[in-house]
Amino acid sequence: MLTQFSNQLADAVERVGSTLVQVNGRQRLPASGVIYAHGLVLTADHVLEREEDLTIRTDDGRVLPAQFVGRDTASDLAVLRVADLNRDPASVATAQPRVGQFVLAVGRPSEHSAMASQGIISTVGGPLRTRRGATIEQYIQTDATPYPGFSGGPLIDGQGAVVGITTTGLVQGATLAVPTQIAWRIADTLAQQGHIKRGFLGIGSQPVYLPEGQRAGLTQESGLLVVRVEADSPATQGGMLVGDIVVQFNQQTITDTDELQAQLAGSLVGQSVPVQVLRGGSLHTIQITVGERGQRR
Amino acid sequence: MTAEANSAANLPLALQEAAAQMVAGVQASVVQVRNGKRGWDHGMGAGVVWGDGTYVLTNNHVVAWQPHKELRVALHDGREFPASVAAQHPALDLALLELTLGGTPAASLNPARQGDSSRLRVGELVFAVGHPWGQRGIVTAGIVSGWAMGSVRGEPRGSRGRGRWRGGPWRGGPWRGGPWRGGPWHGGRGPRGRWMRREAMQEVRYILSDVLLRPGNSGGPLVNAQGAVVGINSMVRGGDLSVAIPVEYVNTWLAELQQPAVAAAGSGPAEQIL
Repeated sequence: MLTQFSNQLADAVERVGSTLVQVNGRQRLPASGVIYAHGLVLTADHVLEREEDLTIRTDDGRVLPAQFVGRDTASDLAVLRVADLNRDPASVATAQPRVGQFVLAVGRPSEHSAMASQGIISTVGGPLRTRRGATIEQYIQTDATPYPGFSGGPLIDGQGAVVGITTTGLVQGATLAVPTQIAWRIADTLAQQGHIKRGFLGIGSQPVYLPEGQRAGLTQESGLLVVRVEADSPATQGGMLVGDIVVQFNQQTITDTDELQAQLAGSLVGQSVPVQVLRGGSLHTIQITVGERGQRR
Repeated sequence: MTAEANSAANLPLALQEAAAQMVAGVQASVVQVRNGKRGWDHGMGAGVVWGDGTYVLTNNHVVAWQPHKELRVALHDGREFPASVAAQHPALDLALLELTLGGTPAASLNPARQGDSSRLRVGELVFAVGHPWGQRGIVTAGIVSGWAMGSVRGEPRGSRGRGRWRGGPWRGGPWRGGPWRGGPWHGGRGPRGRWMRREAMQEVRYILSDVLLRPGNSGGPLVNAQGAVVGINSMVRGGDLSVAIPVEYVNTWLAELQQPAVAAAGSGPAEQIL
């Protein structure tokens, strides 16, 4: 029984092994990546300290040059293109990740063999605000040990199917994984566009309580007080003023920063969007053409 | 409810029962090695009953320093025997102790079953049994995480005490040439600062696992899912990576000793498929 379980775990590591590569993109120790589509390797963004002179090492020890395709700092993912890879992409877990599910974190920081550690899914949470203010809808937290160089490698289930992409760079001190469905979608966009579009207004804001009688007929108890408007930003061009309280964005009620962040999807870039603000105690609607958030760190 | 009925109904429950059963068998062969007058003056470690039951395998660093020449081995069932060092391999950090049984039948000490460490695969379940912080018979579970290549000096030649490498493998063992510290070692300073060429070195493929090890686990066995010993736990690297000496090196070493009784210890009960 135990032996059978043990063998199946080793089988799972072996199965994912052919799609598991070592990624050399930083001065310190190498990191890991996974072949997610033909000729394309998905890895973590923070392990690529350079965009040229990248190489990968495959399971059979070949060292191949990799071409940088795109990166997304917010979700800590990056895509590389590798010619002559000749490996089938990793299989993907179809079921939703569940708390308590047995998982293995795998990586290839060493040239000798794949490495693995075991654990369970501790949290399936989200949305998560990450660096640069962007949000990913869902994340997985695991208690599997993240050995140095595991970032960018897959988190797999008992059958060797990929549940997520492991990273320790998203939140300091936590081993998180970007769920496969999100990671694969972002990777596809990166492969096509080289970056992920995210909406940008150019304001600094903080949530404020709206006292009764100062809500101009609205039911919401709070709004977003604009405390800074950047020069030449979409907000400036749309006529937003410091002191405005944002209560609605694109027909959606806004009561705190996360809600606005969630609304600022990349699909809105370039579109004119109605923004309702409380100004001097009365409601005004202004039109703002959403800009695109800069990609570089 | 029988075990079979359980396994049909609930897999985690069945696994849990299988693990408990396997672990109980292993614990019977794990001993505590006490070094010093009061039992702990110069360290306490774990060990595993080896061969026909007269021997105990442990880490050399547990018994290396014995100013009082007081070495005792405590069994899982509470029995205690005086012991003496029969052989040492400081570079591999291994020591073989011979027990003074005084009429007790050796087989009653439950010698451990040996596994084949050369067949271990990454991802396989492994369990460590030892006495972390002196707590007896603690079991921790994990999987084989990978391998670390290290170079240690081969079996010391010449008379005992000359040319020996004092200290354990941390003097040039897996810390050098590990998975993320560059390639193999081409040579280095050996005992008393002498330069040693690589030819004098033995390549060792250590087992890395994610089982939790703490002081007191040293010398205890790392067993596979069948309860067969595949390695001797010896240290922790990087805070959470456990390093074990594969049992194949133990057997090679014991065979090289060319003492019939000890060599027999190397060919103990073989692995059984359960």
